[in-house]
Amino acid sequence: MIAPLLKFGYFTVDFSYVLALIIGIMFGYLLEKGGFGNARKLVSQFYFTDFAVLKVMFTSIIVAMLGLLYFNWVGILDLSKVYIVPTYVTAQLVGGAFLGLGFVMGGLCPGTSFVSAATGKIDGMVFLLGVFVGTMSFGDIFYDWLEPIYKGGYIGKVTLPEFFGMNAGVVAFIIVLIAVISFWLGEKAEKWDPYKKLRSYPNEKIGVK
Amino acid sequence: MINLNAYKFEKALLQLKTPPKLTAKEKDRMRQRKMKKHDVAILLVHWFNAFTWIFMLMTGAALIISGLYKFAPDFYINIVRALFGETADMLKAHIWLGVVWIFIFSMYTIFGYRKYLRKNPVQHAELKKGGWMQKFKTFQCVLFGNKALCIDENDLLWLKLRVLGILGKSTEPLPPQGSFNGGQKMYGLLVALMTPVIMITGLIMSFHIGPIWLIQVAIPAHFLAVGLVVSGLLIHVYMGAVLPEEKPAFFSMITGSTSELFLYKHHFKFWKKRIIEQYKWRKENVEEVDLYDLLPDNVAKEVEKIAATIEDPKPTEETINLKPKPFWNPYIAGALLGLVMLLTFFLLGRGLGASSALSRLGAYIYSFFSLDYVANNPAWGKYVSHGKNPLMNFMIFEVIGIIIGGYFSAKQGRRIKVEILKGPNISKKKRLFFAFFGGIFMGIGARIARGCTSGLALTGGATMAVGGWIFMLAIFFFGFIGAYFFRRLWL
Repeated sequence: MIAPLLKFGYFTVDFSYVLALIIGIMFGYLLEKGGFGNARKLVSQFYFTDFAVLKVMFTSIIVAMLGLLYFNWVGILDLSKVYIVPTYVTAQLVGGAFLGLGFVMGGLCPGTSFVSAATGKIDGMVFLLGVFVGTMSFGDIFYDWLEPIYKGGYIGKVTLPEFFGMNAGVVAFIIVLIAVISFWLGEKAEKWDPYKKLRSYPNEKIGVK
Repeated sequence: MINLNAYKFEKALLQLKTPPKLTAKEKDRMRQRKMKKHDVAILLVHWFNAFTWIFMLMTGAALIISGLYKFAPDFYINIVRALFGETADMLKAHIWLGVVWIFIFSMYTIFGYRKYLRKNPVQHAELKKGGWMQKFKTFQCVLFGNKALCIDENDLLWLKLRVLGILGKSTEPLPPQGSFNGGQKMYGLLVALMTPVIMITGLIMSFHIGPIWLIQVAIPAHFLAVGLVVSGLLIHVYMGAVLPEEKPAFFSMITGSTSELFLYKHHFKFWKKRIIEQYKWRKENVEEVDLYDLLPDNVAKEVEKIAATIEDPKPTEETINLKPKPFWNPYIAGALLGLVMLLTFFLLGRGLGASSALSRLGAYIYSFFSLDYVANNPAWGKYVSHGKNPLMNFMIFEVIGIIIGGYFSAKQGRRIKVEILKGPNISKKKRLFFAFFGGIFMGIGARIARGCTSGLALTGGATMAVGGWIFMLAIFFFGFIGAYFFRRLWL
């Protein structure tokens, strides 16, 4: 077991910041190349014209997930030292609702709005400002009201295999299966076009190539 | 499918002088489609003006009691006076509102003038041309500083035919009009000349400025100017609010927008301008625009015919090079993104993220003012515990990297451009408002859930955390539902 390298002391925390910068550059580069700096491209998923968001998200999740399991299996990565997000069912459901609605209103999400702003999109910059105001208002104004939601439904740092009491490999297989089905459904849905009649210009899809 | 380039489209549509006939179905569709006609500032000024005028005329008529000018019947004067209690109070109200009106209009003129000039600059070459009509036009253009408000030969013809039409003596079709028709322009000129007269004489009368003779002149001048404006006002109100044909114009003063059909029929030139704007915008954002989808069949046919006679401009090297490169295949981009995420797990034992960089930045800024406030805040306290600097964190460096990487990728793909990405049927201001509002939603949501799309959905999804998956499903579920209600923003 050698990984995660930082946790086994192969380099200092200070050096990890340099790595963070490099990782960030790669992350931003790929987000932009996938078209995620463009609000129209991102939002077109919700209007059934371009499922790039789903495709990119699920592909990356599958690759990283399978990689983690493989490294763990061959014995070079200790999964117990990888940070697992704690699960707060209520908080994450409500937060997801906020993000879903914010997504269709603003057309971006926090990570992609950095990219969007960096490529000169004024809507991206304004969105970023909105995220800043929103995120600060949570601590300054809304925390007392939202605390029951923020702390609601805590079940610990649980992973899907633990939750369902199944082998991690089996769960990973099911996730891959679900992802492949959703890719197939996404490709179908791109041709379905249920918003055709509601568009101001019916033959014009919102997506960006 | 006919797909013209923006250059040809603009040239061809501008050459089309009269609006072609529409089918019933097209009329119906254009009636449904709204187009913006007036700015919010114009709407506010219009209604402020309307209510001020009603009040001022009401009190003004009751204030004139000297035998020479008195025209209102006694019972009216008594009723209005009874409403205010005393004549002095009524006079005070009249003067007070008048001063407010002068102030608001002066502000509107000073600040609005620059905007007008920017939108429709007066070309100096045009002003130098001779002929009495041209000289007249020059005078107005200087007065308004806006071509859309100048009366030209076309407008005089329109006036003539409109009057004959109302009298039932002519059935000739009216010439196409810009954003204002001949009548509106004529009235605009009268009001623009008379308003300063009303303001100045009003001030002279109220505050007894200048010698006695000046005040004596100001009184009849005030009445005369008001009388002229009111005579035009009657026609203006009748045309706008009473005549059924012009009903859409009345509602456009409430909503700011009117149906495409109304613009097509009554302001054809203005309609063409809007359509050309839309076409250019769409050409930039969508690869293929179907002419027959955008325009009514007859118009599309005409435009296609004219466009066939127009030569393309020779593409310069610059225009070829400026075209953005296509995005990557999403599966490839996704797989590489997955590898980056895996590398992050391998090196640092944690995943990607974005939104908490902003709250760390905010906490850092706060800590300059009050470290205690940050330390005791339940949301930001952990950022500064044990004397930590909120900025010395993975997130901050990663986000700086995202900005650098995004910029370089866009530079490479020729996608660096200062612009506002939006739907075809929404103004830029509205888009930015909703971007800001959506951002606030995201900011709050990300803090409630302890992560955003990258920090919680991607990372949590890859580590198979239950919370990450719940969060991701919630985003997609509410995204698809919300999309229906916010469709006007994007479709």
